[in-house]
Formats: sequence, structure tokens, C-alpha cells
Amino acid sequence: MSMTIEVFVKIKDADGNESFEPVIVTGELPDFSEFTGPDNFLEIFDQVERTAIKVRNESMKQAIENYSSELSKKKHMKE
Amino acid sequence: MKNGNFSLYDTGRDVFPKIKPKEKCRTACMDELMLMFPCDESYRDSEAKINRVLWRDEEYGIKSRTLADIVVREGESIQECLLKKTQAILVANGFDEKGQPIAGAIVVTDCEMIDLPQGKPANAIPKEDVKENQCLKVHGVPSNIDSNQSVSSDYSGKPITLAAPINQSPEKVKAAIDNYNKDKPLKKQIDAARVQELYENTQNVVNVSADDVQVVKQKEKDRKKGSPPKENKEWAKNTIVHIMYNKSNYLLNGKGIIGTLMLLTAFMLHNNIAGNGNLVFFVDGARDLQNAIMDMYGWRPYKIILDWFHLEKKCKELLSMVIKGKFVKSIVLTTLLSYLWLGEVDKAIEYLTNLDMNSIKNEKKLNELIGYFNRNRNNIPCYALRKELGLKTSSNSVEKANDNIVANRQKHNGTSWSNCGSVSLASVTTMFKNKEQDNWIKRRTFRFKFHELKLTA
Repeated sequence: MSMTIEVFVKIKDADGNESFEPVIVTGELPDFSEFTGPDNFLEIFDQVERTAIKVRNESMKQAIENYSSELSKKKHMKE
Repeated sequence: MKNGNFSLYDTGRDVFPKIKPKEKCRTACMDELMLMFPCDESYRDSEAKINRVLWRDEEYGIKSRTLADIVVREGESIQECLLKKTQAILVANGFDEKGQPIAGAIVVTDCEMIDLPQGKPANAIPKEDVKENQCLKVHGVPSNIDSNQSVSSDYSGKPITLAAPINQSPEKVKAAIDNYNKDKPLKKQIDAARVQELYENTQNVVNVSADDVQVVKQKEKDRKKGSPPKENKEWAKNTIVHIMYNKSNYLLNGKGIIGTLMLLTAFMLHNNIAGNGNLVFFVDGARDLQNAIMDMYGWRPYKIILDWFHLEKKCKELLSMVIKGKFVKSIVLTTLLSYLWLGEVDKAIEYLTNLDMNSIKNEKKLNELIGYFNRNRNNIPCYALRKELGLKTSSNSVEKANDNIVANRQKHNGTSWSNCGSVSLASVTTMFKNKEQDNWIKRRTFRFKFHELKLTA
């Protein structure tokens, strides 16, 4: 049985209102029981780190995409 | 890690490699990053790039000195791990700690070893006299293996069977000679009657190229700014071995020739190619390397081939000291190389001996060149025919590996190296070239197996 990591990203304006739906990205982490000994510690921990980096990158990518898309709408309105 | 109050293991001691007091344990991703950059760039440039990638400011940034320490420590651990692995493989296969088989570890069942008559060249035995199941010990090194020896001796494991060399058929060799000779003047043709050598098959041949590479050694003491320079230039030495089998490659590096050749023996045993009948070494003219190969592989047949590029270079260097005048030198060099390309060492020596004495400015160097040819006579094949048959003629693969592993990073940039700093960095680079970083960084071990790699290493 594995564990899950969830990353939430919210972007708020100056008034504290959320500009768009928060981004939620999830990833699967190895269960604690998979750390069976010093022999596999680095390998299993590497899976933790890689998943964490992947989830972080994906959440940031989606959040910046949302931000950019909002930005393009604002520019359009000005014109 | 704890199970209740019971401590299972200590990650600081049992998992992560030893670190300095203020150093932090590194995860596999971090380790890879910190080892990867210094392979191609100076420690200072690596420091800047890693800190930029990780967005670390000066306070939390990684220091170049730390990077250098990590690389040296990892390189030493790699060498130690490979040494342990080598010893384990050697023992498991019935070899002693010097890389020599103990009695009973090798069985020569499907080929018979023929020693060359003392002091005779490789072509002293006509090829008609060598039967299919016999293998000619080209270099006449006395063997410690008796082909009639009983298997029930010191070694109780499964012995390695030395296979008979698989050579190109006489018809194929003849066809290659005819093809080469077509449209060529008589003087530049391969003399089929003189071709006595056996040519290995293009498939299932273990091609090993070995070379030493030297970098400027740093002073061991008194390295402060403004201190007097060293009296003599000293060198830190690395030995690189490139092994090619069919389309797979592997690189080995080490501090000395013998140690690296032991790694090679273990690697061949681990990959089940130690009993392969066709083992060909490609070397430059360095005597220590050739002698070490002879010492290490006396128990099996092998061939040594002098790299064509080095042979040509030696001729150019020495002839410029021997011959008066550019024009004459150019003619002599062209003629000499045309003989050597065909493997006609006798004709080359005869040509040099009969040169007009008026055109010679240094007889001592002339004798040196003749001595070089005599010494390497057995290692100078008919390069033209080898090329025609699609066989390797040079050690270019290891030369390229030398550049990639050592020279590009450690030479011609004003740097100097300690022995262990140079070998350690080369070991880390070799690990990446062999795509072993996952095995090493996560599991602290090596697969030590061939993998598909670009031929340029």
C-alpha cells in the first residue's frame, strides 16, 4: 500500500481573493514499510524525492499556466 | 529508523556515505547533480552552476572545496568497491589475488596451445601447420596452463573453457587480398605468399584498447601562493581500458597498469568472455603496458596490435631526427609507411639500413627506429589486410576515452592534480560514461556488465 502526496497551489490577488480554482496535483509515495533496511534506503528515498519534485513541477506548471491565461484575458479586456 | 524504541539502523552511519562534520547528507538526486557537473567543468564553474540550478544564495550555496572533497571521496569509494568486486570475482572463478588462474581453473578442451619457438616471430609457424583446434600463442609467453592437466586439482569450481580462436577463412582472406591488390602497383600490393598471420573473425572478438594518460602533478607540500615552483615536472598517471565486444562497450580506469588489467580480467570473467578465443589488445608502443599484458595473460592466447597512428607518429618523429632535408625525409617516410602498412617489417628495416649515409644526420636515432621495429615486430600486422577484412587497426577508442575521461578536464588548462584527485575524478567520470550512476549512487555497487554505448565512448 502506497502513500499519497498532494500539493495545493493557490494564487490570490491583493484583496486576498483567489484568482482561480486552486491547483491540486497528487503523486504516490512509497509506504514506510518499503524501507526495509539500509540496503534499499537510498533507492526508496529516491522515489520519494523524484515524486515530490515531479508533483511540485507539475503543480507549478499548472498554476503558472492558469496565471498566464488570466493575464492574457486582462490584456484583451484593456484593448 | 526505529521500530518502537528499538533502533533498526542509523541512516547517518549505515546508509549515507561518510561525510565531514558540517556536511549534510545528500539524496541520490543531489549526489548525481554534485558529481555530474565537475566531470566536465572546473570545481568553481560547477559550484556556480549548481547554485544557480538550485537557486542557492552565498550563505547556503555549495562551495567548490566541498565539491572537490565529495568527488575525491566518491572516486576513492568507487575504486575501493571495484577492487573488492574484482577480488571476489577472481576468487569465485579460481584466480589468485594477482589475477592468475590457480591449477584447474582453466581447461583447454577445445583448443591446443602452441608456443612459438623462442625468439621467432609470429609468422615463424606457417598457417598451414596450425590446425583448426589449435591456437597459436603469438607472443610465446610461457604458459602456466598445461593442456593435458587434470581438472581435479586445486580449484573445485566450474573451470573456464578456453575456446579455440575463430579466424577468418583462408578463402575470405584471399578474396580480401585480391580485392585490395586490384588496380594497385605491384610494390603496393599485399604479397599473399607472405601473409602467414591468422585474422580473427569480425564477430565475437574481445577488442581491448589500453593506454596511460598523464596529467601534471601538483606539489604535495608547500602549495601556498608565491612558493617556489617544483624542480621537475611530475605526472599523475591514469590507466584507461576500453573493452569492446560485438556492439557493447565498457570503460575501466585505475591508478596503475597492473591494477587496471586485473579489473579487466575480473570484468571478462564476470561477463563470461574470459574463455573467448579471440582477445586482441590495441596499444601504443609503451613497453610497460605491453610487458604488463604479457605478464597478466600468459594463461591464454591473445594478440597485441600496435596502433597504426602511434606507429606512424613514431616514424615521423624519429625520421625528422635521422634524415637531412625535408624533401628526402618526406620520400623516406612515405616509402617506410607503405611497407609498414603492408606489415613488411623486414623490408622496412632493410630499406632503412640501405639508406644513403650522406642523407643521415643521426645514426643513433636510426638504430633506435630499427630497434623499435624489431621490438614491435610481432605487433605490426598487415594493416591494409586488417582494414580490408573490416578489423580494427587502431586504439582510437581508448584515445577518445582518454580525452573524454581525463584530458578534456584535467589537461591543457593550467591545472595540476594529486594522484588521488586525478584518479578519483576519472573514476567518477567513468561511472557516468558507463551509465552506472544509478547503481552506484542508489545501491553503492556496480553492475560491471557491458551496455550498448556509442562507439566513440
